[in-house]
Parts: sequence; C-alpha cells; structure tokens
Amino acid sequence: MTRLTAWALVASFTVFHSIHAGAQPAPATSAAAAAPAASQQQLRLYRGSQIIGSNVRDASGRKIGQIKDLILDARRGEIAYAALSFGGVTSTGNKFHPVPWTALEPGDDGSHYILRADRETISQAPGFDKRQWPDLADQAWHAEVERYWGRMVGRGTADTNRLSSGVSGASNPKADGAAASSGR
Amino acid sequence: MSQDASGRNPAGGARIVGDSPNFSGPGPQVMAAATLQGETVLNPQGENLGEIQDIMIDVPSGRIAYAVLSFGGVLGLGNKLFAIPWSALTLDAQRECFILDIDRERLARAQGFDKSHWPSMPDPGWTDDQHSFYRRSPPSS
Repeated sequence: MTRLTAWALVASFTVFHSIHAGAQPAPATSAAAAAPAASQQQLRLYRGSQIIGSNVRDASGRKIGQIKDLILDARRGEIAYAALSFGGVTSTGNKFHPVPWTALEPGDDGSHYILRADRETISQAPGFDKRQWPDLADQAWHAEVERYWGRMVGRGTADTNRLSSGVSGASNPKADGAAASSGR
Repeated sequence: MSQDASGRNPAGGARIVGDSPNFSGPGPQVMAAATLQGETVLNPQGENLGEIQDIMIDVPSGRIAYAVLSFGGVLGLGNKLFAIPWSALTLDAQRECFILDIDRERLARAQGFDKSHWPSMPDPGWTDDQHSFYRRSPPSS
C-alpha cells in the first residue's frame, strides 16, 4: 500500500487532534466586522489548521455542524471539500460529510461558515464513517458528492473533474451585495 | 522520475510523481489537510529540508496559497518558518513526501517569518518575492 491517500488517511485523526488543540485561534471579531469592505480588497489568508474546527451555521445562524477536516485537491492547489460533522442536527456524530468548498460561505466574523441547506438536505447528505475514510481516488465517490450538493444547494459545480474551481466570484454574497448597492 | 501522467498541471497546483501503476481516478493528489502536518519535505538530492507545518488558504477561492515549512531546528533556524508557494512543491506519492527543488544553503538564506508573525495578510510585493525566490510565477490577479 504505497498510495499517499491511504497512508495519509490512517494518520488523519491523530494529527487532527494535535493541530486543533494547539493552534485554534481566538476568533477574529471586531476588526473584521467593522471593515468588511476593506477585507474584501486585502488578501486574507487563513491557516488550514484554523479552518478545521470552525463552526458551520445555517442561513438563520443556527449551528448545524463543524468543519473536521479539509479534503484537498493537491494538483489544482485547492480545497475540494470540507469534511463536516452534523452531530448537533442529526444522530450522525460518527459520520463526516464532504461538502464542496464552494457550497460554504465564510461568515463575516471570520470564525464560522454558512451552509444554506435545510435539515432534510443535511440529514441525507453523503457521508462516511470518520474512522473509515472512503477511497478518495474513487471518481464515482466524487461524482456522487458533487451531484448531491450541486443539486441541493445549487452552488456546487457539475463538472466533477474541476471539483471546487470556477465559482470563486460567488463566495461572499453579503460583501458582494454591499458593494453592488453602493453603485460603482 | 515520471512527470504528471495526465499532462494536466494547472498553474496553482503541485506536480505529482510516482503514481502507482495500477492507479486510476483523480489520484493521490486528493488528500486530507490534517494529514499534511508533519509531512517530510526533501530536495531532489534527498536531503531533508524540514516538514510541513500548515497550509495557508485564501478562503473565498479555496486556493492553497502557501505551504508553511518548518526546519525543525535542523539548520539552527528553529524559530523560522518558510512560506513555500504550493506550486513549488512536488508530491512524491511513492516516497510519501514532498519534494522542493532547492538546496539547503539557499533555503537557509530564504526570507522566512517568525512563528509569532504569520503572513496572513501578505502584500503583493511579499507575494512576488516569495514566488521569485522559489522560482515560480506569482498567481494571476
């Protein structure tokens, strides 16, 4: 078994806990909230280990889950999916659910993400046992995830070969809306 | 050392070598982020350059801007971290590590950053500097 995926996944959770415990930041609050327009201009990078552990809320602001890991498309240099747990909503605390990165909107305080999906969508989302990750090389698995979220949320990409790319302009509707309403 | 089998290598991506022959599908380039921490980075000569400490993400696009390399004190640079453009890394699936084409002396002269000052809001000049140092073209836009 020499494939990196298989080897890497075994190590996933032991590493995850150490990263998370050590590097979870204080939530960015006042600065980001006060100047959303400015942060739109300036490239703001987040550590991968900070994103892991972020809460996910629904459109009404209710917490529906947490980002447990990020699934990377290394060739494209992008996050393909966030692996979410929806433990608080359905009884699937042992399951991780891959959600296309493009389906998640960054919250305006920089410490949470918004997934505009209803309870039913979440409860039926494709998932896997967190102790037994799927073969990430399986094209059919990607197709299923992309199809589910592309249909249910309407922001995913239908082209499974491109994974999360191509929708970057739609990532922050709140800020975009503010900019648009101000004219030019 | 075989090149990317599909010939597809988008500008922001890492090259992949050493795909196992019976392998099909998207490939070993799909991986979990949490597993990257502690990943060994070698140069083509096989010298250990350190390990991956984290990745820096442009959240709206999901793009991986940098991998953060720590020397682990090997060169007496324990307090320094290095922002390596993702595209400068080659994933070696056979050896289960990343390859960065730079010799240790040159890396030792690289402009790193301090553990307590992560470049989370890099200005364009800094970004250009990092890319030219590791001989990569800066991302468009």
